[in-house]
Amino acid sequence: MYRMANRHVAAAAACAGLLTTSNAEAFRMIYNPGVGRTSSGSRVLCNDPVGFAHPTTASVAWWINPANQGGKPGVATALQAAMASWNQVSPASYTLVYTGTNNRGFVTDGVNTVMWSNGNGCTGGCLAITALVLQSGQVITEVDISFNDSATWNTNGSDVDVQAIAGHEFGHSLGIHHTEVKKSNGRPTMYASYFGTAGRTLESDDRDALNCSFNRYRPVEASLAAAVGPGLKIANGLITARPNSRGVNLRFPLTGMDHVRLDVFNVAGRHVATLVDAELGPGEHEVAWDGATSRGQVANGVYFARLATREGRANATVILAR
Amino acid sequence: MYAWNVATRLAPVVLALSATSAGATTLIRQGLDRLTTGNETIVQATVLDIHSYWNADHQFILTDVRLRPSRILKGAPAGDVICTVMGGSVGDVTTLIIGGADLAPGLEYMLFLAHADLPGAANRLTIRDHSQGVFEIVGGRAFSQAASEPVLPDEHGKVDVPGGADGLDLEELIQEVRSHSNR
Repeated sequence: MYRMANRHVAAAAACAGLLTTSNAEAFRMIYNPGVGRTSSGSRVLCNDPVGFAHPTTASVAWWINPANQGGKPGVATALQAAMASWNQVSPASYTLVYTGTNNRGFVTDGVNTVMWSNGNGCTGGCLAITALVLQSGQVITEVDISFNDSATWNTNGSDVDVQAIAGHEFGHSLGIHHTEVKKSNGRPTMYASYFGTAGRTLESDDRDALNCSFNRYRPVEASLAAAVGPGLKIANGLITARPNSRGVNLRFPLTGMDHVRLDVFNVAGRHVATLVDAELGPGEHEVAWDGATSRGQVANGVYFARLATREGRANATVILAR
Repeated sequence: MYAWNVATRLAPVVLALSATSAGATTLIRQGLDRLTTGNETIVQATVLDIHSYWNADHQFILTDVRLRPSRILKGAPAGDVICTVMGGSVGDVTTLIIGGADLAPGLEYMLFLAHADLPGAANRLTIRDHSQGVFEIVGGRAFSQAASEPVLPDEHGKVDVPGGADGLDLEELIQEVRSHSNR
């Protein structure tokens, strides 16, 4: 009966909302109800006291797995166009960055990957599915998107359109749920179903959703930049973080002998630990971190690893979940 | 998650996909006939508890849902049933599958279950139709969890999930499932 009562309350609230608000306020955000139930993410208003899923960094690196239809000509360009639609939203300053290709799957490895697959819980009539990895505080630490490889994907405007659907899934990656807008014309990209290439273009409802999230949860770059100095370039692609039961493995390539400094910061931008400060040779390097610092163990949570060499800098989001 | 929308020009593509589907996640409208024939186990059950964990590779969070059936409409599970869904929470880490099933301990559901491969966990009994495979039972009625999302028309052109927002009388749902199951 509790659920039924809630359903009626929700329906009443929705009706009241329709009477007093415009379609431009119909966007909804993804809320994580937390431990104790399975969930696909509830829909909440942007100003809901419970908060909602959100990124903490303005720059988010994305990779494409070119297997299956991910390797079709034009796919990478279409995905970048979808990213650009969100990047252009202002005053929000999020930048989704196409970083390159990888061979990652639908796994929690600290790497945001778009892939085409015949599995991952998205077959039949499902066109694409998004998995959000959240840390405490509903912080989005990773997103993977799996497209249904059984469908025929196109980039020339005919169905099924990569850019339109990628635009929708990238919206989820920023914490935006399906909109309550149900009108047939001018549908927001975050409408729940595919409606052709019209989905490529964001509507005011989509932009308002991202700006509202930005205003409520300002990205951490400002504080991180203050901690590590000017000139910081967020380029997650050069270092990857793979969580495991003991902590995390940080992996990065070097093209030649170089001085490497690898530091870890918390989400407030405070220095937590220095993992490497040494000359290293060329090749792939892997550093394990179990959360140890000079002041003892840190709590599980989200951290940022910063790799600095004479060649440049790169960052990675680190999930510590021992 | 992105589902196909109402677009008749896509119907041939959609039907082809539907026909090749093994019955896993689908947001093409699934009538009770398709839900019944496409799943191997159908139970009216109460969720006893849920347990989320990292898969063996520590690369994906899965959740086991322990169910106590009060009625078995299809299949022959012995005792409590455990199904597995993608996502869940372990410690401070949560994986959300947008568009997945939403189950809570103590609540009663009609569930359409089948075996499928999940990330790092092969051949698990799961809810392949996601929200369309879950009906919440409240006050003698069954409400599809997919009622709030648009779905693509099925081969009959229907877009309303069984019962729609008003739900189905539970006994009628059971009778219909049994009739499809016996065909």
